[in-house]
Amino acid sequence: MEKLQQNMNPIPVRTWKWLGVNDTVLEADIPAIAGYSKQPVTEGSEKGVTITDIRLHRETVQFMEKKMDSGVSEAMRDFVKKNQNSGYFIEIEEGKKIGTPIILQYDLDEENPTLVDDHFILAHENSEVTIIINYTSSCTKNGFHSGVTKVLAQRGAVVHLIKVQMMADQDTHVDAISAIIDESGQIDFTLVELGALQTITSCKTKLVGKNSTGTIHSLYFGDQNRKIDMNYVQTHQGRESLSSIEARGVLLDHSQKVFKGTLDFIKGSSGSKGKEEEYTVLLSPTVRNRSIPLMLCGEDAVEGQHAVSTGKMDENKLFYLMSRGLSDVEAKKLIIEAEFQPILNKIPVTELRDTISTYLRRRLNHV
Amino acid sequence: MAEKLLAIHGLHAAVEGKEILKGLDLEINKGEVHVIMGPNGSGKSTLVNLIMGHPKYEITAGSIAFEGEDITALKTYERARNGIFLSFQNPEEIPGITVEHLLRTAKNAITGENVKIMAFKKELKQAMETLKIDNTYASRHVNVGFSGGEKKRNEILQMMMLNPQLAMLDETDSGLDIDAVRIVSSGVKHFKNEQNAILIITHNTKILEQLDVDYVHILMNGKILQTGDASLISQINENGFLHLGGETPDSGEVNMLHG
Repeated sequence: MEKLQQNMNPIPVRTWKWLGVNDTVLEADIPAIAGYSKQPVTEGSEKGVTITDIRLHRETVQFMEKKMDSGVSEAMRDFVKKNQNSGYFIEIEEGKKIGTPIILQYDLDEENPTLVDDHFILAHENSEVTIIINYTSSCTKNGFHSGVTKVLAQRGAVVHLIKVQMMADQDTHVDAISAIIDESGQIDFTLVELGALQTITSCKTKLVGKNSTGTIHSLYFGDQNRKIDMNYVQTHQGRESLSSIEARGVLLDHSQKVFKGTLDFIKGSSGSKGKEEEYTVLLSPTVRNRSIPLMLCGEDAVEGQHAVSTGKMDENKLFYLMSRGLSDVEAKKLIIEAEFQPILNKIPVTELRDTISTYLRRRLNHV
Repeated sequence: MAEKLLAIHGLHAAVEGKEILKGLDLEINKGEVHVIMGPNGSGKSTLVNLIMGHPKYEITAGSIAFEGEDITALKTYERARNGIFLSFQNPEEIPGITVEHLLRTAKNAITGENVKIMAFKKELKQAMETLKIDNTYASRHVNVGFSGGEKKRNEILQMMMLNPQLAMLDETDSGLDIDAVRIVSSGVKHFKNEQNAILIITHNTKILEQLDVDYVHILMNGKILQTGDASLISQINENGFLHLGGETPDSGEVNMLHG
């Protein structure tokens, strides 16, 4: 197996080898990367936003990304740089508040079965923007996506990045997000991982500035033989910075999931607060569910909380819904939808929310 | 002759190996209002949960028939679709699902067809007006952040919208102030007709004031100890259960009615 496919998504502090969570192996072979010929930018012509080919900004990007995390692995980062077949530099002017979400829609198909995308989002001081990147696939063979998205929120800027992945059952999805938040800036990530046979994702934020805020809301759904590996890190550097990680998911059949969530308080981040919470509903005895909440403290005057819980379906809730005429499958579907709703509600585009709900209902038909 | 709706014979039931019901008989006809009273722990909630088919309760002997069909093997949702409804003593919270969404999903499931949205909304509005429920209520998540009174009103709202043949109210009036009890009671009265029946578990006779009660049953130690007409309620209010002479559930201590 190629070196590129190994040691992906390493945990910030290694633990016992037998737990099998230190790093991850990409199981599918990486195909030859051809071009991606479709136009992914569907929305985003509002004044104050420029969306251009990232290759036109190579020097700027290189200068800024030096401080950023390398994503799922250095080898994969280099692979993306070398093989990139789509990517945008999205720049929001200072003080501009962009009301309409910018939408990038990537849809893999037989003619475009491979996607390697590289994006850089630069939100200048006191700007605001919501960006949605949606990955879908109608590939009948093995679709492949690997990408990197970097975000820089300058002083007082607010960025909401939503990534939704509904790729085909046999596809591979490797996605890395790295971000830096300056003073009083804020980045909210909403990450929805529903499809693909193997998903390896990372989201690593550095809260550099004083009073910076970073949140991650993640939702996942594993069924059949799906494997999901998530590695989220919130690194507090600035004083009085705030972070949170919230992950919710459902696992059934023979699916496997590893959740790595790290709150890292670097020396100097005094007065900072972070919390992480993960809740998984287990619907089959054959799933494999692993969660590694980590809290690293190099600073005394900080507050950190973490909670990880797993549970079967609440019998009393099921009984309540069944007493209203819902079959056990319908009741379970409703509870799962309800579980997902708070995170789905963060997506401000009704059509996309409806598409996700329809997609989920179809997948939940065999619960 | 009255049409029989529910027929329970020789019912024995256990929870986690402990026998709660010890040979219970009960028959309810269409058009009737039955009240079950009894000290705490006597098996009242067990009975209605068993009729609804809660998986935690195990029937060890006896039968439950609904409209002449033995329903002991039916799943909860099949019983609901046959026309049985339980107003829960402690209704569950369902975050993420609105009252309206649940009601529409439930109505679709029970009627077996997709209800027409406009007609549904009109019916919902009328039911909410009867129960003096604010319009915003329909878009709130089921029982999340509801007061005790709101939760119970939500149960009665569901009962009115789903229009069951047999409605069982498990202490629907408990924890409610006097005005809320009156509103709930008027909702129950509004629902009642000659084609359905109501089984009410209560410690509080206020909920019964607007209803014509046909039978009152005293449940003690897993059996119906006495059955009478509405006058039995005032006897119990005055004298409690002790004078009836049944065994008490635990160490001889009896919980008196609240009035």
